[in-house]
Amino acid sequence: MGPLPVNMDLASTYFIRGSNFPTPTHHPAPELLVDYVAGALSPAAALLIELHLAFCTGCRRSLDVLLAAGGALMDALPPARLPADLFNRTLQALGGMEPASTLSDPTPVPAFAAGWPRVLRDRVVEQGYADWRKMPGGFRAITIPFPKSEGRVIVLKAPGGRGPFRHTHAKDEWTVVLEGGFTDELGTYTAGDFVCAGRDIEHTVIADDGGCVCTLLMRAAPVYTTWPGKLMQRFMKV
Amino acid sequence: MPEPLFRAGPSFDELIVAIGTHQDRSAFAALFAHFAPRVKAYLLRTGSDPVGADELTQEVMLLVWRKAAHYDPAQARAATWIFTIARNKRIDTFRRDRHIEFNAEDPSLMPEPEQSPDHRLETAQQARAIDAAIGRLPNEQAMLLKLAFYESKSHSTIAAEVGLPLGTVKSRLRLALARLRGHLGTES
Repeated sequence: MGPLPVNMDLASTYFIRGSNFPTPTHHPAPELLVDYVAGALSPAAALLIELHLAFCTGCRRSLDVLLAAGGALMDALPPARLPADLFNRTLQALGGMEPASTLSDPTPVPAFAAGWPRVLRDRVVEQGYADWRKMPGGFRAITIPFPKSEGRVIVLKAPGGRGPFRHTHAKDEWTVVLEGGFTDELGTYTAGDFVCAGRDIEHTVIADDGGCVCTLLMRAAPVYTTWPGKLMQRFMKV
Repeated sequence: MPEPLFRAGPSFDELIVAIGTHQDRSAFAALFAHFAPRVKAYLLRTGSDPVGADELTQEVMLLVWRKAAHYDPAQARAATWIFTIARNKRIDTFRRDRHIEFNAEDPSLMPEPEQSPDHRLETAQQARAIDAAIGRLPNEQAMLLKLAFYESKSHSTIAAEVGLPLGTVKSRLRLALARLRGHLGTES
C-alpha cells in the first residue's frame, strides 16, 4: 500500500510549490497539525502552519491522513435531521450556479513576494503592498493584519550577519523561514522550517550571510535580555 | 428520504464523478441523502446554531456540486473531500476578520502535477484503511481525536477541559497520528 496522495483540493488552494524544494527539518508539533485540521487555530496561527505546509511534503501527508480521519469521523456521526425542504431548496439554488471557471488574478504580485507561498502572496496583494517597509539596521518588514488578540504577524527580511538583539519570549513565538536562513544557539534554520520559541528559549538570532526572510507570529513583544535591546525597545517601542 | 441499508449502486466517489462529468442530479440526490445530514451533524457539534447549520449545510452541498468536476477519486475519497469542504466553509464563516477566502470557494482549483501516479491508491482500499485505522486506535487516543474534530478544540483546550496533563494529551495525539500514518502506509 503506497503513501496517501496529497489532498489536492486543499493543496491546490494553499500549497502549490516547486517540487525541487529540499525538505524542511523543523516541523510544527503533530498536535498543532491536529489543531489546524480541527479548525481550532486562530487565522494567524493557521497561516504559519500553512506556510510550513507549502514547503513540506511530509507534513502534507500528515495533513492528508488527518483530513481522511476527519472525513471518517464526520461520516460516523449520527445524522442530523434536515428540514424537509432543504434538498429542494438546494436544487433550486443549483439552477442559477455558474460552473466553476479558472480564476485569473489580474493584480500583479510585487517582485519581493513572487516566490512566496500563495497563501501569503495573496495577502500581500490584498494589502496593496508595493514594497517592504524600511526598518532601522537594514531590516525590512511587512505586517499581515490580524486581530490583536491573535498576535502580530510580520514578514521580516534581515540582512546577512544581522539579527535582533538577544531576547526571550513571554509567549510562544512561531517563525517560518521563507528564504535564506538563520542560526541561533540551538540550530540552523532554512526555508520551510517551522520554529517555535517560548519562554524557555533565550537566544541570539543571526541571519545567514545571504540574509533571511521569515514570517513571524509574535503573541507578545520580545523580551530583550541585554541592555542594547532594552534601550532600543524603550526608545522605539518595538 | 430513507437510506438503503445496502448500497448496491455506485460508490459515493462515483456519484461525485457523475455530478462532475454530466451534472447527474440523481447522483446529487443520493450524495445529499447520505452526507448532508452528517455535514449538518458536524456543523452542530462544532458550534453552529440549528438555522446556521442548515444554511451552511446547503452551502457545502452546493460547493460539492460546483467543484465536482475537480474531484479526483484517486486523490481522496468522498467523505474526506466533503469533510474538507465543510471544514473550510465552517472556518471561513467563523472568522471575523476575513481577508481573502482561502477556501473551497476558490474556483481556481487547477492542481499542479506534484506527484507521480505511484501515489494513487485504490479508493476502496483507502476507505477501508482509514476506518480500520481509527477503529484500531486505543480508546484514549481515539477519544482525544474525536474531541478535537467534533468540537474543534485545540489540544490545550482539550487538556484543560478533560483534566489531563498537557503533555499526556500531546503524546496521545502524536501517537494517534503516528498510528494512523502507519496503518495508511505513509511512514517516510
